Amino acid sequence: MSHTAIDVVVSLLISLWPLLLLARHDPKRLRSIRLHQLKPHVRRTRQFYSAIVLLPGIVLIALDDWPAFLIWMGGLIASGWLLVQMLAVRAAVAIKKKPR
Amino acid sequence: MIELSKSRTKELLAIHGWSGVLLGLLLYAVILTGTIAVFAEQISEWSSPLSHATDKLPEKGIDAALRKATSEVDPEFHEDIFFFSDAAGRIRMFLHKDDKKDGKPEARGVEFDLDPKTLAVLDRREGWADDISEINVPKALADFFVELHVSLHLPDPWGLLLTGVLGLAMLVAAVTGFLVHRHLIRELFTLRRKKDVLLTRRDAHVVAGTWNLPFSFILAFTGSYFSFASAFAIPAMAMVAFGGDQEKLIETVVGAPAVENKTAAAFGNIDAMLADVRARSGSEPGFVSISHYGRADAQVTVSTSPREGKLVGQTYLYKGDTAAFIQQKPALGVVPSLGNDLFVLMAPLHFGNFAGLWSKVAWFALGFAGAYVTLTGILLWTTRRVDQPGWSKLARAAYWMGYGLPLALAAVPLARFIAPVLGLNVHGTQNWTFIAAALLSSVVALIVRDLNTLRRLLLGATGVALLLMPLLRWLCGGPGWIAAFDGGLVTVIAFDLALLVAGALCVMSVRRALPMATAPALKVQPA
Repeated sequence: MSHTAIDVVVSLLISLWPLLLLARHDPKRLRSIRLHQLKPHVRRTRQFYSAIVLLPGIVLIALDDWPAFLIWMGGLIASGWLLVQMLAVRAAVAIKKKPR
Repeated sequence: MIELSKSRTKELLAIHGWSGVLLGLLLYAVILTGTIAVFAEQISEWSSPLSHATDKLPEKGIDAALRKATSEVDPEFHEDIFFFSDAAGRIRMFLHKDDKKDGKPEARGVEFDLDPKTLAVLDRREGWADDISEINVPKALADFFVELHVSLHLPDPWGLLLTGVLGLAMLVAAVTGFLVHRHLIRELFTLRRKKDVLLTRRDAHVVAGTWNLPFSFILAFTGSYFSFASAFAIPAMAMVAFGGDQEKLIETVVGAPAVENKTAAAFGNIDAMLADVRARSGSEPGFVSISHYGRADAQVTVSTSPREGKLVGQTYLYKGDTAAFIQQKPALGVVPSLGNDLFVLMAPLHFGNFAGLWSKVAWFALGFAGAYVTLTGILLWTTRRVDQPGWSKLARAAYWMGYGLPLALAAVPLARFIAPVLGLNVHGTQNWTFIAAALLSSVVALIVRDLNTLRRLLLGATGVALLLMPLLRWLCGGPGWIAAFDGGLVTVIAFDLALLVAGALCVMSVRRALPMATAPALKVQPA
């Protein structure tokens, strides 16, 4: 495995976990699907997780590893979009199952 | 969030919508084919594999192969020679001279495909450069997708101008979309799948557009640059500063032409020059260009692939007769400059080819998201105007293009494999198959009234075409999986598997009724 590949995998792993938490506990998303079991994050928590999401990108720039930075950014964007789609499908299923 | 007045927001929203609606269907075609073209090299390797996979020039034997090739062609074609590792590792060597065809600059000469292992001649093509590319079978499939992306198969310069304008439309849509969307960050995770079809479509478009915004800027800007540079900028600059002489312009901009000396001289050892490039750069030589082979003023320019951790490769200059190193030079000019730095960044940012498969997979995903944004944008626009008959026709056209284009594209590889078996011209058969499949899907789009049924039909047919591809490849003489595994042809197996998965997903999604496609208002629109 090349250095670039290792850098990309590690940085994406670091970014994706807080991104998942941000998405799951996003206030607007929870409000829109009326999912009250999950508690929305307060602004400070969101800012903290956002910083962790972006941190690997800043480190890659500091290391002058531009190929890894671009792939990380592309991977983060594609994964973020996919994550939102998956959460929307799950939310739709949960809403359908909800007793009226 | 950018605060805008209500009237300004309205204006920008109109610009955003119209820039997308007027050119959206063509833009979708350009983005979708560009997404496929990211894997152009792999497509060639999959459709025309050699028994041994490689993408590198061999360390020894090129010198002998070059001498043999030059001895077999008219010396007038020694004026310019280039070679590089092309389709499935075949070394493509073109010996040519710059000539004029119908008053336009065009290269004419002899092209060889060499086996990268044995250096035996696999194919020999002769004539004008554009005619030669028409009979290059190993590259045929990849070329089809690339040409459709670059110029929509329209003649120069019209195709390039059109794709340049489409790139600008994408740029305008991205900028105005960024400005009008007031809750960019707040709605990053909000995707409502409810019965309200308008809301669903709005969220689908906005979420995909927001996530993909940075790359929309990058791809639209670099795409427009490539289209306009070759269609307009180079001829215009040549007209203004060089009396219309484009060759002189390129020679001046690229820099370092040798002082003319037509004295005959033996050519140096190209293997030694390539070994020196490997030692200096720490990476593999990519594109090799030789000017004035067999003369005292011969020069060799070698460009390398990017080194690990770098976005761009290096360029080295050698004296042809002595094989002596002259200098490491920028791609533009002879000294480092900001212009050169920006110029060399354009290609990796647009093609995503700077870190092998890793960067290509990322660029493919982003291209797919871009196509999705374009299509959902048109569907959102038409849903908002669903009660107006003219717009419902656009909705139908969007379904036709959205699902019919993938079908027409999926039919092309089938033609690629069948054509040689039937003794047909591969390029022609591919083009006509594409047109026939596009026409067929238009007929279906005109006949089928329900848009969801239309989607299911076209998507199902695309799935079947994708599932047929690996089977047809094998039946038409391609290697089976065991032979591919033994020969280390990983791309062949990986591509087959990806196509089978994609085909299965298309077929499976036929059963799924999208809420947006079953909206009552869209269901009964006549053709």
